[in-house]
Parts: sequence; structure tokens; C-alpha cells
Amino acid sequence: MDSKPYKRIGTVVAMVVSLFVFPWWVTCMLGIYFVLFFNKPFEIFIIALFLDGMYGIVQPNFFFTHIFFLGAVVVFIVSLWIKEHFMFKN
Amino acid sequence: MSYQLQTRQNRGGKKSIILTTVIALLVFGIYYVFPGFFTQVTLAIAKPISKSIDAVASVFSNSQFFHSKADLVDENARLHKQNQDLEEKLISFDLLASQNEELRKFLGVRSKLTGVAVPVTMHPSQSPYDLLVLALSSENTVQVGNLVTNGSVALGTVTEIAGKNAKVTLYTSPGTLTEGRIMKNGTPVILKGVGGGNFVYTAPRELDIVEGDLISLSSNSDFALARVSHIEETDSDSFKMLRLSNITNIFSLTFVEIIHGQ
Repeated sequence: MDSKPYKRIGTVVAMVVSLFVFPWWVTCMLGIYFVLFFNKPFEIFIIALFLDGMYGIVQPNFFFTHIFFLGAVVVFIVSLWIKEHFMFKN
Repeated sequence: MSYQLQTRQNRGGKKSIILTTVIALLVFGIYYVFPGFFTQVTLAIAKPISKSIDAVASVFSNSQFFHSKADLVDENARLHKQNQDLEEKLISFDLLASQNEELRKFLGVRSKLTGVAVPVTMHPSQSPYDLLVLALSSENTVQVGNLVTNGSVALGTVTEIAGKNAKVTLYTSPGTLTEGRIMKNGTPVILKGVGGGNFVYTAPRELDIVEGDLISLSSNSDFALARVSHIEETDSDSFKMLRLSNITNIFSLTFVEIIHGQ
């Protein structure tokens, strides 16, 4: 688990830049890395809301409009389980 | 080295789950009270950042550092030739346009559609759906449902307006069904968007269509919709699969037109 603040800030900045420069799936991959390798990665929800706000299409239902946000919630919860059972730290 | 199977860690995990649930409920609540809130806020923040990134990218792409002299000479010659060709085509286009106008007047068909040019701030390559984000100015009177075109090519419709931004869902957006007509014989078709500027259509084997044929928009035949790029069929099938692509490159659009009163 990475606890160094400059790495955390660097990854968040990379995700923000990728929102505007790279295709959506690059941001998703960075997001998954961030969720898995950092403690309490709540910043991912803001990034996911940005993805939904910028690129989401209008749907009559919250669950279809906020696919990235809901995806982030699922990945976050799954990551807690993975961290608890499969990962170890120094 | 200590392994993570500890009670403290579990407690931390529970806290994180509770906090995540609270955040999710908060987002859910805000969405139901103010449905356009997140789109409006994110686009307001994203617009200046996107413009700055575009400006930086254009500085780099225009920099002489990345071009050799020979490349520039070649490109100049190619553009000169292309310019000549386009001028010749423009002359014939003007002739055709005036003939078309006369014919429309004679038949009493309304031909003038008013449109405004609007800059594109975000392209489909960045988004999972085929979606454009447009920057509106205060003079633009854009409504949800307005047709969006690039010259004589129909691209999609305005589906959401958030402050001074508009989202356009392209006809090629996955799952979108669009009625069109084969230009050469007027046969109606329903194209299904599959993303990436592409459509598919399953046609009867007997349908008279070949690669390169154009499809126009059914609701307004002034606008082209797609071009047949590939036909898949086997001897035993009673249907053939048409793969069609958008006529313009949707990944490099800088300006589009929003049409009023279609």
C-alpha cells in the first residue's frame, strides 16, 4: 500500500489529466490502480462523477446516468475485500 | 512484515463501507433534487481546462521543431493540389446548389434551414459513448432535440443542455436506432449505432445496395447519414450484414452546426 503523499497526489493529477487527454478507459485503469494501491481512495468518487458529468448520456434512470460512479462504488468495495484477503503491506 | 488479517483493518474496512454508502446516498439524493447539477458543475469546471489543453496541444503541433523542411515542402505541394481540386468541385457545387434551389422553388419545397456554428469542446474518442460536448454562447437559442450537422452530414441531436454547454448524442452512439433512406433508390432502413462512428444494418439478401452507397436521414433528406463501408454475406444466408460508417471523421470535429426549425 502506498502511503507517500506525493505518489497519491501524482496519481490523482494523472487521473485528472487523463480525463481530458486520454480515452475514458485509460482513466478507468488509473482509477483501478489508485483504488487498489492506496489507502482510503475516496478521490475516485470525484473522478467518477466527473466522467459521468462530462461523458454520460441522458437516461431516465439514475443507475444508467451514473455508470462510472456506481462502477467506482463497486470497485471500491471489491478492493476492500481484495486488500483484506490478498494483499499485504510492509 | 505484518500481514493484513487484523481486527483494526476490518474496522477500517467497515468505516470505509459506511462512508461509501453515505457518499452514494448523497449523490443519489442530489441527482433526484437537482437532476442536472453534476453535469452543470463538471462541465463548468472542465471547459476551461479542456480549452487550455487544446491550446497547449496546438502550440506543440504547430511547432517547427516537429517538422522537417522536406515534409513541409511536400505538404505544401499536396495542399496546393488539393486546393485546386476543391475549387473545381466548388464551382460545380455552386451550379448544382442554384439548380437545386430553383427546383425547390418550383416544387414549393421549403429549403432554408437556419443553423449556428458551435465549437466542439470534447470528442467521442474520450467518451465511452459517441458524444460531443459543445460550448454555447449567450446568443445561441439551442433546444433539446435540435439536429446537429457537419455541413451536409447529420451527426446527432442535442440531448442535454447544462448551462452554456450542450451534449449531443450522435446517431452512432451504441444502441441508437435511426431511420434513414438509401439515397439511390429511397428504400427505408433503420441503422443501429454501434459506437466509434459506425452503424450496422441487417438487410434482406435481395436489397439493392453496394459498398460506397450513401444513406440519408429519413426525416430530412437534405442530410447524409452514413456510407456503406462493408457488406458481409454468405451463400447460405438469407440476410446480409451491412457495416456503415459516418461520412465525417467524428474524432476530429472542431465545429458543428446546430439546425433550427427542421
